[in-house]
Formats: sequence, structure tokens, C-alpha cells
Amino acid sequence: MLIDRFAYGNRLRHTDPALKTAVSLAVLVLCLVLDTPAASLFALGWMSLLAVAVARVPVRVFAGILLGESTFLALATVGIAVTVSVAPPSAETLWRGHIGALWVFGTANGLSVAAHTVSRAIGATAAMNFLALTTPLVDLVALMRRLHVPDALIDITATVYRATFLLLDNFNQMYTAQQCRLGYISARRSMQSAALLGGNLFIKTFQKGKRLQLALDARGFEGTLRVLPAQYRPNPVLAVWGIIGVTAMLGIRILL
Amino acid sequence: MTFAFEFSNVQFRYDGLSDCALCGLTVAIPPGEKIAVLGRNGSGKSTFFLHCNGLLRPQYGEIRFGGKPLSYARADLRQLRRRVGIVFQNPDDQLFSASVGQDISFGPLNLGFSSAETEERVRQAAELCGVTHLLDRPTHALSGGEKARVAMAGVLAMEPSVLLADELLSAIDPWARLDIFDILQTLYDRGTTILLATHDLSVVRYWATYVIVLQKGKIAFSGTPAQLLQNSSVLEATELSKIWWNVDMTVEE
Repeated sequence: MLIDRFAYGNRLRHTDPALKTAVSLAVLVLCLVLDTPAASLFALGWMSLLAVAVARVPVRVFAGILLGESTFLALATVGIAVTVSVAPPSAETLWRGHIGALWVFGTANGLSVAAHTVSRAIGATAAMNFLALTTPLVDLVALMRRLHVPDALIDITATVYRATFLLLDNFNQMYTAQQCRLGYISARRSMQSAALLGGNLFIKTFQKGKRLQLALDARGFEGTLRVLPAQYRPNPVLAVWGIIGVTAMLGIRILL
Repeated sequence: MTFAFEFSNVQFRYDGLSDCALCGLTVAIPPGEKIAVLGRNGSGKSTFFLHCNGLLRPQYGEIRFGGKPLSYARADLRQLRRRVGIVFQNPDDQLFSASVGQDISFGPLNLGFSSAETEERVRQAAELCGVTHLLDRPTHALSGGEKARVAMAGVLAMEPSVLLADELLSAIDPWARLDIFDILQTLYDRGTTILLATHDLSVVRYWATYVIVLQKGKIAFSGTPAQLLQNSSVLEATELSKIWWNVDMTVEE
């Protein structure tokens, strides 16, 4: 998976995940709390800069992921910016039109709310992307342990992460095997093959789960998946960058 | 001589199946040997291994380890699993952790070792298995051969005196096999008893110092490779003669 590859291969890989998480969460919370489009757009630029210039995640990767998320966000906020009504608009509108009996129009207020929503969301998303692209899940699990998150939750997180890849492997193998035998040659065959794949994937995954349990027991499993914590390096540069970013966001809020 | 394992008339049947997986299995495993465990699919090799590790309990019969009957109390099982390690056929069934280093550390931590001791064991096991450079790598990003070596390191970090390897060689390329054999030889030189379930008869001819042949949940033969090669009636009865064509059967005196 693309995100996983960069999470393991970026320049902040060995930086303490607590620092990366703190920077990301601080920016995310400020985007939501300040509710200032300029501060949120600054957060977008700032987190992109940290990811690209400091962590050395390729621009096209960061931009590509953000673009995909932005498209989804834009579609979701269309409902806020555009009003559809059977009655003609009573307030002053920026534009209006009708499709059959339905009035479609946009107001300055609706557009403003949509812009605020998109900017808050995109700033917060950039902060989360920074964390996802610079911090492998294994580091986040280690951080959860340091924060004394309950063992059961940590074990479920780690196991689901591992199981996701096993599930994908199984899916790919079964899908290829079906394709080789013309399983997707027509719409009808595709539906049948997909149904078979879904059912068998569940059974295979269940069997794999049972074998994993045996293997864990063989290595002395007694209810907790205990592993060694990873070793991290302090990174004062990122801490300074984080403080500058947070201060700048607060400054923008005060000035505007 | 105290045997590593002694199975006396052990019987086991899986739920819902009419045939027994182990049907009165009786065998003594000599310590410090490189033992090839042969048998067709379904002959009971994996079930035999799971019994050795205490993962399955015999429904009838007795198993002795180091001369003492196996106990299934939690503390005794922990001791057993400390001394008897098992590497499964498919490494993906064994690797659960997100990173290689963490996966290897799982066994020693379960045995109650401190973080410092565990780190040292991880380092030694990784070095022995040639996976030191992979310690930070996610387990899903490994090749088949690397997964096999990491799975082995995860077991060797527990420093077992008996290693069970269940068809470990079946899904890896010949070069990765050479790596595995190097690791096994190092363990053998240190005195570890190794049981390797395999369909590869060249393993019997060129690697093993002792052979066990399973057939329908029973022992069809146990002895040295030379004894097996010279025993045409066993070779015929176990149908090994049908697949022996690519192995030099000359027995050195």
C-alpha cells in the first residue's frame, strides 16, 4: 500500500511518533477550533511543506492523496453551497436556475458556510496526511502503549492492520485464479464469481485466523501481544517547525 | 539414553472427521539428531508436531518429553514451549506483528525475559537467520524466503532445544533453502534436535541423520537414512520407491 511504503521510507521515520502526532493533532484541533479559512489554508500549506521538504515525501504523492480527498470533500459540500427547493428562493441569491419544477440556487451565506467547511476539513486532512505518510502504524501502536491505551484495543489495532494485508493477498490470489478460468468474462459470470470470492474469502480468512492462533500459542501467547517498543530519535527541528506553525495559525486568527 | 520425545500409542481424531489423524502412534525421538519426517499429505506429520508442542492433547496414549510425561498445566506448557519451538509451513500463519523486530521479540517477552534480554535474543536470532537488515521492515513487505527466515528467527529467539519445522522448505526457492539449511546446520552443531517435515527425499539422503516415515497416522519406519535406503520392503510399503527416482541411493559404508 502506497501510504505504508512512504510511512516506512520517509526522513522522519525514526522521529518519535509522539512529536509527529502532537504536531498533527495540534494543527488539526486548531483548524477545527479557530474556524478561520486563512488559518486552515495556512495549515494546508504548512503541513504539505513539512511532509515534502522535511520528511521528503514526493510532492506528487502528497498532492495526489490530497487531491483525491479534496474531490470527495468538494462533492460532500455541494449540498451546503447549493440549495434545491420546490419554492422559489426568497432571500437574495448569488445565482439561480430551475430544473423542471425544482429551483436550484446559491446564497452568499451558503457559499460562505461551504467555504469554511472545506477549508477546515482540508487543513485538518493535510495534518492527518502528514501523520499517515510519516508514521507507520507500528509506531502509532507503540505510542498507544506508552499512553497506556488498553491492551485489547492495541492488540485489535495491530491484528487488523496485519489481517488487512493478508486479506488483500488472499483476495488477489483468488481473483487471479478466477480470472485465469474466465470468471469475469461476462456480467453474469462476474457476479457469480464475485459472490464466490466473497464467501470463500471469509472462510479462508477464518481458517488463517485459526492457524495464526496456533502459531501464537506455540510462542507462549497468554492473552497479550507483547512486543519490544521501537527506538526513536528526538527531532528538535520538527518541534521548532511545529511550534512556528501553531503560533502562525494563532497569529492569523488574532489578526483577521 | 533419554529420548527427546517418546510417543506411546498416541491417538487423535479431529472433530467432525471419521478417520484418525494419529492412530496409535508409537515412536522415540533421539536427541541431537537431524530428523527428516516423511509421509504423504494427511499422514499426520503436522498433527504429530502440534502434539510435540502441546498445542494438541492426545485423546489416548502418552507423550513423554525428556523422559517425563507431558503436563498441560499453564506453567508446564510455558516451559515446554520454551524448549520446543515450531516453525509452521506458511510463514504468514506465524508472522502477526507489523515489524520484523517486534515479531521476533514476541516469544522471549512471553517467556518473561526483560526488555534488555529480549533485545539481545532478537539480535542474536536475527543474526543467525540473516535478517538483521530487515528488523525495521514491515512483515508484509518481505519475500517468501525472507518470511521463512524471519519466522524461524521468531522461534529461535526462544532458544529451543528441539526445533520442529513443518514443511518449511515447500514454498521457498532453492537459494532460500540453502540459507535455511545453513541455519539448521548451525543449530545442529549447537546440539539442537531438529525435526523437519518434508517431501524432499534428497533431504533424507544428504541432510538427515535419522528418518521417521509416517503412514496413515502411524510410524511406518524410524531409523537411519542408510537403514531406510536398504529396506526395500519399507520403501515399497510406504510407496517411497515411486518417488525415489531422482535421489542417488548408493549407501556409503
